[in-house]
Amino acid sequence: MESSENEDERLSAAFRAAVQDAPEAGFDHADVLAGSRRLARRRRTLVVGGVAAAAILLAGGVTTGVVLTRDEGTATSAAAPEAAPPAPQAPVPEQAGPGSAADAAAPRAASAPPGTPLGPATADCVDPQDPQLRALVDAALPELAAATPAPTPMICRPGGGREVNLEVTDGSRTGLFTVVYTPPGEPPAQTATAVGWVTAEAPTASGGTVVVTSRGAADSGGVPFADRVRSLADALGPRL
Amino acid sequence: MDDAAERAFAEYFRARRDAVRRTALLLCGDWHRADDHAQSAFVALHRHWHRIRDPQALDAWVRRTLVRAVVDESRRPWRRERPVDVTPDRPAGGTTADGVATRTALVGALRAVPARQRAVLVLRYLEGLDVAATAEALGCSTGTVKSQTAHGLAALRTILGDALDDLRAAG
Repeated sequence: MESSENEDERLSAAFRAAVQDAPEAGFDHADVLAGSRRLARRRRTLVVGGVAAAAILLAGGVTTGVVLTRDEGTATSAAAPEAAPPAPQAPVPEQAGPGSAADAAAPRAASAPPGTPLGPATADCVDPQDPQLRALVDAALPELAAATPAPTPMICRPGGGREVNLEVTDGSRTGLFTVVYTPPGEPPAQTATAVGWVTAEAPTASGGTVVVTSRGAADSGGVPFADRVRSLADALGPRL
Repeated sequence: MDDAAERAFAEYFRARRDAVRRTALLLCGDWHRADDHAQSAFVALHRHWHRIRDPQALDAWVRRTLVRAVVDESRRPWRRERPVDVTPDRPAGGTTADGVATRTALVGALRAVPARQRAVLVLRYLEGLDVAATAEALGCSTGTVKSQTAHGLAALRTILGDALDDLRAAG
């Protein structure tokens, strides 16, 4: 009788054989560099635009030129790879300091009147780190403000969706935290039912849907921010 | 990135492009989407290159990005995978006489396996990762990897029948 190890080796050989006849690649190094630069340019544009829009709404009449001048430094640093999250760029409520009683009770955006809903994005491709949605998420759940963007490729499809994918730490719990906004007319992102996942869905003011999902990493000991997923979805709904 | 970093990235790209494409193929089932996913993973890597200090971590980073993208895509409403009533054709005769047909059947059969189970099988049997490394790549427990492996192999066996054993023997 053959050992399980031998069976695994044979199966591995079969898997390798199945992909041995690869056609010529459909992309080269230049395509990758062009894609990377395109993303960088797009991110800069979104950040600058978002900063300007937020500043105009919050300041109530400050001229666009002044806002762009003031926030140029912020936009530049945020456009550098996603080491640090961009400054809040969308209409968000006034925030209390982290660690306040309100933080522990619910995402802070839930207790403030929403402004103009963010609504669908205008680009063709869904940015996995949409800066305007990230600003709303950070405002609603400040514990995520320092979270690192998760390595997630851009997905090209129409419809104006928005996403934020974060690698998060909640005490001893770590994992992937995802917020997906689906615009009106599009079916919502599928909600997960797997063990180690917590997810919540809420309708948005623009007629779309927001789905918040937290997945525990291997051996994390639990799902990070599991008790905040529902309230975050409810808080984001009026702002999207 | 500075010139040295760009050169290092170019070297890594040349060395790993086809391997990443092959993994993507078994994860998603066709070469066009495989190329899309592989290219996206390399674009993401280029944008994060300066943050990955350990060269030994590059493969794991790309693998994690790729798997996450394919699994996530399978759950997206516009390309959500659904169970099928009719599974892909088994290779005629259930023999290994036609190796190409059998290999094609394996790729087709994998497409009918649920995305997470498929990812586990690809990481373990194509990438050669052990249970712990597979769990790390997928962000799940080792117990989940073991159960997903068993379920995935059972699904393959349901689809391929005896051809799965032929594949093992032919490997």
